[in-house]
Amino acid sequence: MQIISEQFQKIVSRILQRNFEDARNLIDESTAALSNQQHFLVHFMLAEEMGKIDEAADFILAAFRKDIHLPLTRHSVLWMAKYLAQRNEFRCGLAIVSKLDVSIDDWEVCSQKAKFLALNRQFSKALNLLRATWKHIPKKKKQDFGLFEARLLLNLKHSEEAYIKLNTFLKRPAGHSPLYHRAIKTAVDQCDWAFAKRLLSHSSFLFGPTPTIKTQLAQVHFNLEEYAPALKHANQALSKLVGAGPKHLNNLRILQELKCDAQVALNTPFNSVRDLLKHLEQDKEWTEGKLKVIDCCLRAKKTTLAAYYFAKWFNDTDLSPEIVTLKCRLGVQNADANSVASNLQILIENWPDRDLHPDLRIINSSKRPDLQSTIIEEIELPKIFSPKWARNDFATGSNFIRGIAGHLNSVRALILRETKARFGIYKLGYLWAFLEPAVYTAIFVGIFYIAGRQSFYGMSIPLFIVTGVVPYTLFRNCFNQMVSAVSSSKAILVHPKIQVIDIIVTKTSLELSTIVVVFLAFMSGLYFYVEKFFIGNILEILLGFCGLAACGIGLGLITAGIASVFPGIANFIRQGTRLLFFTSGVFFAPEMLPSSIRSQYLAWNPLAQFISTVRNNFTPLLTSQNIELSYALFFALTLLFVGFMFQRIFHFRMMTQ
Amino acid sequence: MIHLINCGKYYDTDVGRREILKSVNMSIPLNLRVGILGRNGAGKTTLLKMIAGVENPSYGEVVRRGKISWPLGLSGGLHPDLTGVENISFITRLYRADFDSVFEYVKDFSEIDQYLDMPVKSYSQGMRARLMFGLSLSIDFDCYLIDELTGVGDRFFKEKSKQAFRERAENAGLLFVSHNEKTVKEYCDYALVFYGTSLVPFEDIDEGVDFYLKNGGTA
Repeated sequence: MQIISEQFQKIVSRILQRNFEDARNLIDESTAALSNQQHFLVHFMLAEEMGKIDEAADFILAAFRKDIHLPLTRHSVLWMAKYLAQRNEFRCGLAIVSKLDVSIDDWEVCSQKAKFLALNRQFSKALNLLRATWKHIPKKKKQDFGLFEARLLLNLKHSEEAYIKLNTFLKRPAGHSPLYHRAIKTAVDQCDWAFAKRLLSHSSFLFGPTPTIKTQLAQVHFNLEEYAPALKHANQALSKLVGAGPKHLNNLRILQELKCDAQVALNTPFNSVRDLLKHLEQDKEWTEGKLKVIDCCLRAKKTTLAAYYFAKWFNDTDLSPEIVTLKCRLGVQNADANSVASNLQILIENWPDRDLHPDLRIINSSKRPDLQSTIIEEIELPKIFSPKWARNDFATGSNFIRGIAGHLNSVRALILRETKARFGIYKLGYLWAFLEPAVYTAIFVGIFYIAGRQSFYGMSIPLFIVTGVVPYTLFRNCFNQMVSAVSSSKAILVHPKIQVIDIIVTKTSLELSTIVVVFLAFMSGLYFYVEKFFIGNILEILLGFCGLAACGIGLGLITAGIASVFPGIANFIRQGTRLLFFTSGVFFAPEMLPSSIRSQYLAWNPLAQFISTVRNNFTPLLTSQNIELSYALFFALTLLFVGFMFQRIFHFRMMTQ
Repeated sequence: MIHLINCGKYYDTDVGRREILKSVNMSIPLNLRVGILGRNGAGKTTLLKMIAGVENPSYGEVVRRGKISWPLGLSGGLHPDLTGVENISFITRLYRADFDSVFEYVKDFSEIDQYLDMPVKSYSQGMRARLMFGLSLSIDFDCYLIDELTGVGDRFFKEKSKQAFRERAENAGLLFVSHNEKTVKEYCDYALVFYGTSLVPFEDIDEGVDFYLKNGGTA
């Protein structure tokens, strides 16, 4: 024993004197005299002093495998540790570090040990150790270890704390993108979308908006059900990937699919169809994309379009569950019961385990369609109420002539009803139709008589006034009737046979015929008792009346539409139309005004044009050179068109007011 | 047959979208007596209006095969300034029915023949309902749509209308809207119950009423 230890000491002293040759010789001579432990130790020391790190490591490892403990110094352990870590000998590394007598003040050893613990996947121990020695770590090293801690936290799935650490220590961006990448991956794996979103926005700030980050952002937003931002990011990622080679094909597909899903979730499935089609031009083999296009068309109820693409891309021999499902849904929307039934059978027979598409579930099961709760699920849909429409149920039996005849019948009934109602019980209703123009005429005739005028342009004063007042009355009555057309007919609209257009036609034809009768009566009175006046083109007179009626109807319907939304503005319009009485040449002819006013203001007023059209046909002295009938008619028809449009748009609001 | 094909209805109100029916797929034979049950505001009247064609569904389609009456509610469609006779003649013109037979029927049914030459605005609520009721029953429809009408009228009139319904129901059907399960039970054999935004059909009226009473509150 004495000898052995002497030999050992000898070798050690040789090594320490850096006399390596002698030491090696001595080791070879005294192999038998050394214990295993001493044997490894001297070899290690030799290698260490000679600076041959791999040789030294070999000895350490050999000793570790033979389960021999070598009493190493702190210095050599630290020296060895890094190298062992490089050689992926984590267990051995941990063993030798653990053998040192560690105190928490010694941050180098502690952190080394923590690293090895982490490498041996003992994260919580490593974390505890690291935290214990934290305050002894010098300041400039703190960043590295902070990030190390963050990584440990990530591995322990403490994503929130890790994020705080990352925030604190990730001041310098360069070189840490892998760490971020990992953090994001961890968060995504854990489905911690909110955290992933924060990390991603942070990293997009640090490393710039790369397509990868944008893609991930889009996915994360999608998973958070924030579809609009998801779309935005997906679009940005796509714009960055545009023109990228075929290696990004997969990415592009993922993005397109994501966009499509987001649009579907936003309930605007049709928006994504164009983008998908554009992408499919380059990527012709993408079957999922084609399926998506058809699916979106079906969701948007564009059945014909869906059928077109289906026929373009697939044929009857394609049999995957997705394609058959689409075929079946197409059948449902086309109400093609045979196709639905046969395809449904194929689906159920070939892929019994697959979940049916919700649209098909309605048809397949004899149970309630939209399953709001289990209560409803348990109730069977009685056979007697089950859907059983056939194709000929959709063949609309009506034809155009029969439709018109139906409307005429309703209009006839309505006209008779209105007329009776106007007569009322006192049978005086139609007296007003004569009385009102008569009063106006009397007033103006009186005024002109006092003013001393006898005639205008060869017309007597009464003739001049009547040809203005009666046409204007037509316009005003049409306007008033249309403003209240729907609101006063709500009760009668419970009859499905009566449409709003019937009411409009009824009121218009009543007004027009009333005015024509009134006009004829006045004119014949004037003709036989006052003067034999000139009569021009009767068709032109009628055209003037029709134009006035059209203006009244259009303006009235527009006002009614506005009244259903902004009653105040409608009131304003209603008062405003009264001004038209004074500005439309009812009691003066445009020719009486200076030509500047005439051309600048009156020429724009279609009412003045129509009234002049009527009046000019009763005197040879007024010519139609100031009348732009095509403009006035265009104006009237535009008003009519907009009026009907408003009626359609605001019908529901009018009915519910 | 009335087909409701993927039929849905919602209203966009100032406080957001209100769903009333969500994609209903159903065929209702015309010759059945069906009660539609639901709470106030569940959408019973709207459904009736959609079936009649007065209102359009928000999506989907309603296909009608056969003559279906207008939704018969309180005083709907009577012109207050016209007399009863004039109102009758309007309806007969509109539905191309024979005036004489309709007039006889209404006179017989409504028992207000001494008032028929007076303007409708002078009628009481009950008289108007009688007139309306008799008017719609006097015209031949394959299916009558009735909206909470039977609440009015006295005991004798109710008896009489029930009798009239029975006569009509031999060759015509009935869609009867009410939140009163008792009247529904009296008039109908089948039930459609509003549950949330869906319509649950029952082959047995008692089952339907039970379901309504149990789950009506959740709708």
